This record gives sequence, structure tokens and C-alpha cells, in this order.
Amino acid sequence: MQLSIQARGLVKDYGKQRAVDGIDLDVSEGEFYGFLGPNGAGKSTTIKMLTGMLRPTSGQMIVAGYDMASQPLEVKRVIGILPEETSLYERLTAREMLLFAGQMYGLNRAETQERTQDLLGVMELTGDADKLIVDYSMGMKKKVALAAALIHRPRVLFLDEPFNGIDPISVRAIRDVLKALTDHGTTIFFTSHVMEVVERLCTRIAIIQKGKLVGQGTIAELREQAGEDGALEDVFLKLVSAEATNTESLKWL
Amino acid sequence: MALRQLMWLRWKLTQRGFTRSRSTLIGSIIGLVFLGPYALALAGALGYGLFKLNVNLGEHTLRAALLLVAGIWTVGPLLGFQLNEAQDITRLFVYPVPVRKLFLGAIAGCLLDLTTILLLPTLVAVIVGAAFHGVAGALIATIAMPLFLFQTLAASQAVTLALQGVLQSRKWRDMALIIVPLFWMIWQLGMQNIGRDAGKVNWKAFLVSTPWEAVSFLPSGLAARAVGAGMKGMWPLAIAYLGALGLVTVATFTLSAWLVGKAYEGDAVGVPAPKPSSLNPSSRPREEGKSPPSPLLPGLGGGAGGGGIIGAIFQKEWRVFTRDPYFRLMAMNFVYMLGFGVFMSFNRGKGGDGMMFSEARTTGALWLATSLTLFQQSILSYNIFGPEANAATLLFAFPTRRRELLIGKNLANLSAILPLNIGATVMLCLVLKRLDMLVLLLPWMICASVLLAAVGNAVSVMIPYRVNTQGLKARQSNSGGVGYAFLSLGISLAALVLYAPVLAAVLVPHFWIGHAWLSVTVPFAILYTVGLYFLSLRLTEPWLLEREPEIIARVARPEG
Repeated sequence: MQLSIQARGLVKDYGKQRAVDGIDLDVSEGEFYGFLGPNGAGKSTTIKMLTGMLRPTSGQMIVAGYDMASQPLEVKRVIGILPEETSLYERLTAREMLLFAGQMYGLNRAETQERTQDLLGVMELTGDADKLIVDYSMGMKKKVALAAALIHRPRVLFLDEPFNGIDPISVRAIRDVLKALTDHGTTIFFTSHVMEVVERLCTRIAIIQKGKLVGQGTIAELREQAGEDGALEDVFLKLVSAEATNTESLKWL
Repeated sequence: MALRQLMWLRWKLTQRGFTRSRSTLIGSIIGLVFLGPYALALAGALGYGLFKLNVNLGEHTLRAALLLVAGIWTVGPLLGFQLNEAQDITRLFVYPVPVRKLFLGAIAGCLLDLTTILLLPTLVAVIVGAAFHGVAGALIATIAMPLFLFQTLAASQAVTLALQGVLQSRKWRDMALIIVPLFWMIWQLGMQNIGRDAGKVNWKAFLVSTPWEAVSFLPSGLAARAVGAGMKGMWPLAIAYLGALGLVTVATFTLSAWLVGKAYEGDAVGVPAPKPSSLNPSSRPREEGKSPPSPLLPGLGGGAGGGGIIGAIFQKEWRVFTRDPYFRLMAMNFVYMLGFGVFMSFNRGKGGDGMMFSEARTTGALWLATSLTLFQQSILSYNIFGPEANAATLLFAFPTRRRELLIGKNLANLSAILPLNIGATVMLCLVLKRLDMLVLLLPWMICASVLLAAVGNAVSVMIPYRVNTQGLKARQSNSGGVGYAFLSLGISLAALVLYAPVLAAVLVPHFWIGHAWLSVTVPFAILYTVGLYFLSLRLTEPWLLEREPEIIARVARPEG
């Protein structure tokens, strides 16, 4: 199967601190790839580098067959991004935002309008489509950002914590959209702390800890690597060597 | 006990504000240095007035001074609302302390504010001034002034806290960006007029007029009347006014505490409840293409896709211009600058004989005014990515040619500013009766604006900086330190050389070789400008693509 994302020796230093330490990634086309790690492990930094938003200190990245260093615009043409912090034009309405995004991806007017209407409907934003985004809740902003990332039907979709701050109904709606996308061959690379969602959706998972990959493969392969037969949460905790919380000192509770 | 803790909290947070934020400390020192002398002068003048003027006139002066103070303290929060951590009592609602006590703590905490500290000399001066008229004056003033201060602070805090929901709302903050500068402009004009016409007013009639008598029954007036009666030795009257002031103070406190409590109980004093949608969301989809086009975009307002990618960027920029507080503030600054330009033009243009304008003076005035408007334009043109803030991540994620992105932004900026600049130039020339100058100024303004865009593209890519919009303050924050600021200034100054040929194209014919030559030099200047603009696009496009991650890092707001 053809690879959608390929990274070799990816390194990012912030001064003396190494945030990402030589990671290699291979994500196949149509894969739902989960990228897990504790806070500060380097997940967002990796996604930023893979989407051209952050220059790596060293390493090579090929996304959808294009080299990120020499063909950044070609890469951007075929990817969609939902960053951890929503980066929308908050003084536009959701409808205006999506129309703008569609045009920026080179879609024609009729197509942009049709897709905008469809996306607003799927994201349950039709009733609020003409309100300014600045007045939206966090969940609504996430949905608009996701819709903007989908409007050009990307081949590879990068999602950084897409379920943060979203209610269960919206989580389900987004999850269904993502599932439909992978059914149509879109590659999804996403980070999340919600293990249940990762376990249910992801075909393969990578776990990053202190900038290094500590595990990569299917859930079954990860269980084997960790020597842990339980749920993904247990496998994850084992691979990142998380110790049990000591509650002994809280006896007064 | 709780009150002591509240005072401690306020003191700690104020102290930390100084020790952890150098800008707060420097701001307070500057505030003290600049406003301190004014506060002392006001205090001195009022104290001296009470001592020197006859008692009746002294009392009227005191009424006016206290009315002004009360007005500023009560309206002030609405104009410059910024709730700091120490003032936000909503954070304390988790504790089992009555709202009344929290409110009292908030009032007491105001004594640590610079604005209150600056008021204290005036109140002390009133006591000292009244003391010259006898013990009764001193004693009554000693009681009346703290009561007046407490009542004023209570009213001020009530306004701030009860309306906090509204004052912190996005709509109010957006509106305040227009209202506040307008208020100050009107205030300044009003003060100038009062100063100019003060001699013409029949003050004797005014002091016995019904409106003046009516406002004198406000708490400030009651305090002044009490002090006045004390100075005259009229004990019973002084005590009666003092009692009335005390009652009003207690009532203000009780009502304010109740109001604040209600506001946070959700009984919505000033906090509008969200309106339920009257339409079924699923039945309300607005038809595509019916989105109201921006009235400022006659040529490109045909909805999505009106002008391709450049059109999309242009439309987006315009929508943001009209809605983002940063640009509203810039527009207000432009109006200020224009007002200043007109003022300077009049002042510089006026010859010795009144309204007759000398040619040399008006020429200088017009060049000065147009330079100021161009300077204002440079703030926008030299940082075209700064206002994107976090959305820069989104903008640079689009696979558009960077040339189109730059052209779209330049077109939006020019279409917003150039008509304003040209309109202002024509207006100034009309006012100063120097329409002959238009033949020089119009080519200069148009070419200089395009040159600003050309130079601005390169400067924006090489030295972008963050723009912060916080509350009523929209400010540029240099995210790279002092060195970065100097680099920015150096590049901007060096770029001035690029404007020289255009300036020469209009000035050389004007001063040396005759206006007829303008028909030759101006087309050359236009050619030069267009050439430089396209050269800038050619150079900047690859730089932009290369530097996008750095630009995002510079302009995006830090997390948290």
C-alpha cells in the first residue's frame, strides 16, 4: 500500500530543549492513525512540522508523495489541518469562513456553496451559520475549523486533539464524519487523549514520550510490545512508564 | 475577618502586579509623575479657594469640584473598563462570604488604586481649607469627605461590578472602541469651548439657577453643602446635610451590594439573557448567495467566488476590517490623526492677520498633514500579517500562490486607506484654499501609498510582529524585544530612500523647473512605483513561502 505520510529522523529543538527526537513515521493511505502521548511529549510539535507550520531542526517529510521542504504548496493543496488551538477568523461568520476556505483551496463558487451548506448541516451549525465565530462556544469553533479543513476533500487530514472541549453529541457527529472519510480513502493522522475513541477508530497507533516513539503498530502489536493484555489505556500507561499515583499522603481525604 | 483577608488579597495582588510586571510598575510611576502634579495643583487650588474666597463662592466651587470627581469616578469604569484580577470579586463567590462583605472589600480595596490615591490630596485640601473657617468647618469636612469618598467608590464599584457581564462582552468592547475616543474628543472640544466662553457666562445667574440647585442635591452637593454650612458655623444645617449624606451613602452601599448580588445570582442586572432562537435551526438555512455583500465592495461583492483567490482574500480582509476592534481602533486613530492634521494646518496656515493663510505656511501645513496620514497608513502596510494572529496558521495552510495572497491584502489595504487619504487631502486643500497643491499632493499620495504597500510586503515578511487586542486596548506588542524594534525602525528608515524618486518627481518641477514638467515627471513616478511594486512581489513571494513558520511564531498569540 502507498504511504501517505513518511517522516525520517524528524528532530525539533527549542534552544537546548529537544522537543522531538529523531522520529520515523510511516502512515499508509486510508489509514486512521492515532498519535498518542502524555502532555508535552511532542505530539503537537510533530503535527506542526508535518503540516509545514513549524520548520524541523532536521529530518525529512514526504506527505501525499510531496516533499514538505521543496513542495510545501503541493502538500498544502492535499492536506487538511485542525490545529489544537482553533485558528479561525473570528470576525467572520461560519458560512463566510467556509466560503473563504473553499475559495482559497481553489474550488469554484457553486461547489464551495454546496459543500458549505452540506458541512454546516453535518456539523449542526446551520442555525448559527450567520453568527460571528467570536461568539461561538469552543465546540462550535472546533466544528467550523474541522469543516474548513474538510471543504476541499483533503487526501490527508491532520487533527490535533479534535475532541477537546466538545460535547458527546458533537464527538459522535465528528467521529462519524471521520469514519466516512477513511472509508473513502482519506488518511487521518490524529492526536487525542480520549483512549476510547482512539481504540474504536484507529487502525494503527504511535506513542510518543519525551520526543521519542516508544511504540508503533496496531493495537494488538502494541499490546505485544507492552506485554500488557488490557485496554489501550493500560497499554499506553505501560509504554510511557507512568507510575501509579501515590495517594498515601492524602489519608485525611 | 473576611474583610481583612480581602484587603490582604488586594494588597498582595497589587504588589505582585508591580513586582511581576515591569510595565505595570513603570505605568504607575509615569502615572504618578504626570498626574501627581495635576492632583496636587487641583488640591492646592481648591484648598486655597476655600480659604480665600468668600464662603458662598467657596461652597459653589466645592460643589463643582466634587460633582466632577463623582462624575469621573462613576462614568470612568464604563469608558475604560478593565477588570483586573484583584477587582474581580466573582472569583470569591465560591467562599462562604456574603456578597455584601465582598462588596465592602472591593470598595476598601479601591484605596490601593492609583486613581483613588491621586484623589486623596484634594479631599485633604478640602478639610484644610474648611479649617480656616473654624472648628465646625474642619470637623464637618473631616466627616463629610470620607463619606463622600465611600459613597463615590461604592457607586463606581456598583457600576463596574453590576455591569461586568455587559462591559466584558465582545459587543460592548467593540462599541467602546468607537464611543471612548468620541467621548474624549467631545470632552476636549467641550472643555475648549467652556474655556473660551467662560468669560461670557452670567455666573451669578447660573449659581442660583434650578439645574445647578438640583444637581447640588446629589451626594457631592450634599457633601459640599455640609462643609459650606460648617464653614458658616451653621451647626444644625451642617449636621442635617451630613445626616442626609450619611443616609445616601448607606442607601448607595445597600442598593449597590444588592444590585451586585442580584447581577451574579442571574437576575440579570444589565446582563442580557440569551435570546432563544425564534426559528427552527433546520428551517432557517439562509440561501447561498444571499449573504449580504459588503457595501464597501461594489466590484467584488457578488458573494463567494466573486474574484477568485485574490477576491476571496480581499473580501475576507474587508470583513475583518469592518468587524475587528483592532481595525476600528486604527480607523479612530486615523480620524484623530486627520483631526490633528486639520488643527495643525489651521495653526500653521494662519498668518499674522487672522484667517488669511500665507502660502508658505499652508504649503508646509499640507505636507505635514499628508505625511501624518501616510505614517498612519504605514502602521497597517508594514505589518500585514500581524493582525492575522492565530489565524496565520490557517492562512498559510492554504495552497494559494503567495503572490495572490500579497496582492489580495495590498488591494484591501489600499482600497480602505487611499480613498480616505485622498479625501482628506482634497478637504484640507479646500479648507486652506490651496487647490493648486492638489496637482502635487495627489500623485504623491497615490504613489506613496502603493510604495508603502510594496515596501510593506517585504517588511511584513521579514519583521512581522504581534498585534494584541485586549479589552479596550488594541496595541502592537513587539514579540522580539528591543533589538527587534530597532531592526524594524532601521529597515523602515532605510526604506525611505525608495520614496525619494517620487518625491523628487513632484518637488523638482514645483520648486525649480516649473509645473509644466509635471506632465513628464509624474508618469515616470507612476512607472517607477508600479515597477517597484511588482519587483517587491517577485522578491517577497519566495521569502514569504520560506518564512511562514517564523511569521506564525511571531504573530500568533502565546497560549494561555
